[in-house]
Amino acid sequence: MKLRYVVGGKVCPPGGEGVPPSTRTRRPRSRALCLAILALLPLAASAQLDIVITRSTQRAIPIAVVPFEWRVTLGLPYDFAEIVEADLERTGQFAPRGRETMITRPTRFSEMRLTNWRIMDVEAVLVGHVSGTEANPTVEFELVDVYAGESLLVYRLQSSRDAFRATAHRIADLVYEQLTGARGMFSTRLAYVQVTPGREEFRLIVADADGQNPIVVLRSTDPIMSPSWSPDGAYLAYVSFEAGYAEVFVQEVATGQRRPLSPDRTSASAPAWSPDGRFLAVARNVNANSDIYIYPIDGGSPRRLTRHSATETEPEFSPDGERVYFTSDRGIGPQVYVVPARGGQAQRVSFTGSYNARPRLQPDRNQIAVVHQQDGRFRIGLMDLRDESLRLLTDGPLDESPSFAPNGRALIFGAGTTAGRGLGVYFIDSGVMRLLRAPEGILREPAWGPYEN
Amino acid sequence: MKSLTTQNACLLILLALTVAACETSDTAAQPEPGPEPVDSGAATAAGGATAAGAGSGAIASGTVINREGPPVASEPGRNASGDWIGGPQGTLVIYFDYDRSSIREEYSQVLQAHGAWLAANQGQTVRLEGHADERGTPEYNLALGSRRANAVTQALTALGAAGAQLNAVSFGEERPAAEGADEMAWSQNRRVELVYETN
Amino acid sequence: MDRLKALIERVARSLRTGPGVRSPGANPNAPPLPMLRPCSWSVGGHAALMAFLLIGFATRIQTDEPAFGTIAIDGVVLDDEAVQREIQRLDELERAAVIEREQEVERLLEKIEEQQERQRQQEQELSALSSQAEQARQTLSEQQAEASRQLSAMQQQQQTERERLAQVERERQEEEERARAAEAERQAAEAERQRAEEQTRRLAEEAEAAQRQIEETERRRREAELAERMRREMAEERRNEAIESGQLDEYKARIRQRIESNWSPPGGIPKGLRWVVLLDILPGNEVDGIRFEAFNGTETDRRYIETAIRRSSPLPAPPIPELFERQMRLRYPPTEAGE
Repeated sequence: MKLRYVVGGKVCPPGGEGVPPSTRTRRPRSRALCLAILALLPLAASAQLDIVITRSTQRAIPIAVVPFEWRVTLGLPYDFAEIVEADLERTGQFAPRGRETMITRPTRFSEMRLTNWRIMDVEAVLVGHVSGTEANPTVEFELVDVYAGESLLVYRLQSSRDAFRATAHRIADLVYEQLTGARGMFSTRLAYVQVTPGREEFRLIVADADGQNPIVVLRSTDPIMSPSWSPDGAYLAYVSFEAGYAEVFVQEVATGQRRPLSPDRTSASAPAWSPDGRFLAVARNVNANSDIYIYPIDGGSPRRLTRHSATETEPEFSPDGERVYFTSDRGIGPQVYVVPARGGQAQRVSFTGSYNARPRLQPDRNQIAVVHQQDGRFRIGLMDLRDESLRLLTDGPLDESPSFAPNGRALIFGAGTTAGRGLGVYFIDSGVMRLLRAPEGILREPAWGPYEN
Repeated sequence: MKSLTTQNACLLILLALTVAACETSDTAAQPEPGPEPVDSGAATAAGGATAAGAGSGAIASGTVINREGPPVASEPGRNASGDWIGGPQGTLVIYFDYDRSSIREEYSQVLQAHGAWLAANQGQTVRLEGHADERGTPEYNLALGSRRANAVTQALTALGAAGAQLNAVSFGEERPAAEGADEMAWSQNRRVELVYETN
Repeated sequence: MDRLKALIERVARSLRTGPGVRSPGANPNAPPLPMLRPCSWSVGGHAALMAFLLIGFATRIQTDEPAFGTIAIDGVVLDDEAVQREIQRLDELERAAVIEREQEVERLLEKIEEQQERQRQQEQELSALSSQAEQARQTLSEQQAEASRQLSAMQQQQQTERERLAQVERERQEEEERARAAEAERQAAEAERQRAEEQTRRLAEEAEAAQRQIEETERRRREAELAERMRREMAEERRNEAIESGQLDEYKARIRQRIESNWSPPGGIPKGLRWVVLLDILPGNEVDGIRFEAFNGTETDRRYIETAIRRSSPLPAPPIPELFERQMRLRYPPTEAGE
């Protein structure tokens, strides 16, 4: 898909016709009026009312995604808006108004009567149209702030017949970023393991972030575990039992080419990429003692990072690559520890409760997601690295394998609910959880891929 | 003589591990005071030491078992009643308590029989497959299955098997024996399977 | 107030240098109403001139009247009637002198006639004597010539006297003319003075009117101020009652809740976010201007604050009008004692 940037940021629409008065032009007149009234009002005793705001309200933002007008002469109309709307709604941060409630279907800001949308209690409206040929249509769209009365985004994207869905996700990304300030994650991909009924087959699957377009990249009658995306999204590292024991493989996603990480075929698990993509941290089992080792991705001898008789596993690099977080049960129950990536003394990080495992760092935040167990329930928790406080995000009882979206605003995990196993997507800002389930078998061990453009 | 006392110690350690496992309320084993819990590192060291004296394992184990139950039959792998409890026809699954890799006391006779059988059949190899129930993280459970398999490996080497006969692997929670999200299923999945390999 | 001062100043200035009072001797820095002095100068000047003339005249006719000098020198108490009287007196004096001269001439003429009578008697005696003496006739002729000479001398004297009288008359007329001119001048001066007085009066009136207007305005202002103060005090009282009864707190709480319910930043409130916003409120409780006085967030954070405020407009109405404020300050977070 080719993305052509045309205009970004706040751009007022060209041509004044039909443009509602902006706040700037409206203001002076009102101020003059205000002054006139000021003169009439005798009350000037105290300057102003001082009001202290104590909190905000968590609420899905009411928006409207107007169906894009199809101006392509030939071909079946493709509903870009529907996918954009679904992406935004899934986050729980937006409440799109139904199309049936729309009185008009404008295609650009200049055609809009903002009062109509205010009456609908809509804060932002996405409008657009598709033109050109069906093979390579051009999608133009505009995001409008109804209350400020201004256009927040004016864009034109070049799409192609086989990339309609990707174009729609890209639009959703741009809208999401404009409305939340965080980069959108709708154009990313997921990797996860599907286990068929009776555990006859294990499949490593790559799919779009919304679970659509699943592609099997590896089939095996032996278990597959712990998929992990390389930072550039080109490779997956994972554990396969095809040799009768746990072994780490690295596979190129696009070609399916793969190779074992360790030439001497030693048993290892829980691979995690360094941020520069040059190393994999793994848990290597020697004489039933699991420790963290660092493997160069291009071969070469591994380096032992931890040296302890307890179980050390589930490594995770810090974003700067300087530290490695991991799980160890050297104390009472598994807890999160951190060790310098070059080696050194490990320090305990988690202190709340007796079971905190599988750390995953939230991008751009000083928080880590962990699997927390209390009273037999395994739940995903978000731990603050500064004050060590823990916030439980999910109910469990058998949740595992958290993995953050690259923007840190959502995480996917293996959801073990009482209703069965699937993939849970938890949106941190809204607290909304969505469940992805397979038509057959169970889905587990998800890994959210990086940004891809 | 040295190896004998080492093996005695090893069995005591195994018992102690069982006792340690009793600390959690979800185990059925009876509480009993014992020595300090020993981590897997210590067990590894003990296992390494026993490997040297594997040849005299049968005598040693017989001595120990005499202390606790009726005299064992002379044929390796059978119990006092003559039933196979060790060897390919014996009891092939050792179950564990939740999040534990210590062998319960009830398996001492079984392991003794397997050790004796392996000592008597040095050409026979056995794969020890460690498993965990689905609770906890898959990677952690993989390590837990590994510890369980290793616990059995050490017991068997202490009881007469040679290290070369034993091949420990872990499947973590990936190959449950029973599907289901309840204690009934979980208790069947926390296990080490002894797979006698056909040559 | 400055303008008022300036006005008074201007009036005062025009009083000092009023039009038509252009006297070179007038001192511009002289105290108020100095125009009496140029006036007295003018009048005094004329009087002095007249007195001089009269004195000159009186001296010539050898009549000394010290009263003139007194009048002329003082010159202050000079009025029309006095001048007239003086002129009359001068006329009377003049007339008396002429009569006296005429009587003298009369007497001389009688003397001449007597002489002629005697001559005739002598001629009669001569004729009687007739032939008598040529000598006698010669003598007589000489006598006659002498008499004739004398007569002619007398006539000459008479003529000179007549001329002199004419001259006196002329001078009198001239004097009259001068008096008239002086009178005209005086009258002009008087008119000028009256005009100046009128001007002064008018300016004074104008100044007074201006002053009155200023005072009126000031009075009205004071009244308005008083009314305003009373109204304010009453409003303040009602306000205070509302504050004491907790109505203000309730009102503020309603506004706070409205804003809070509409403030929904999609990522929640970012850690460490601080903002202070000043709102302009229209009388319908509608929010007009939104100004950030302090803000440390992103453009997105700012937009959601603005949206919350715009969605909340119009804000809840105050329970009593006195609690209405045209400005309102919102701040987040609550714990910032330093502010």
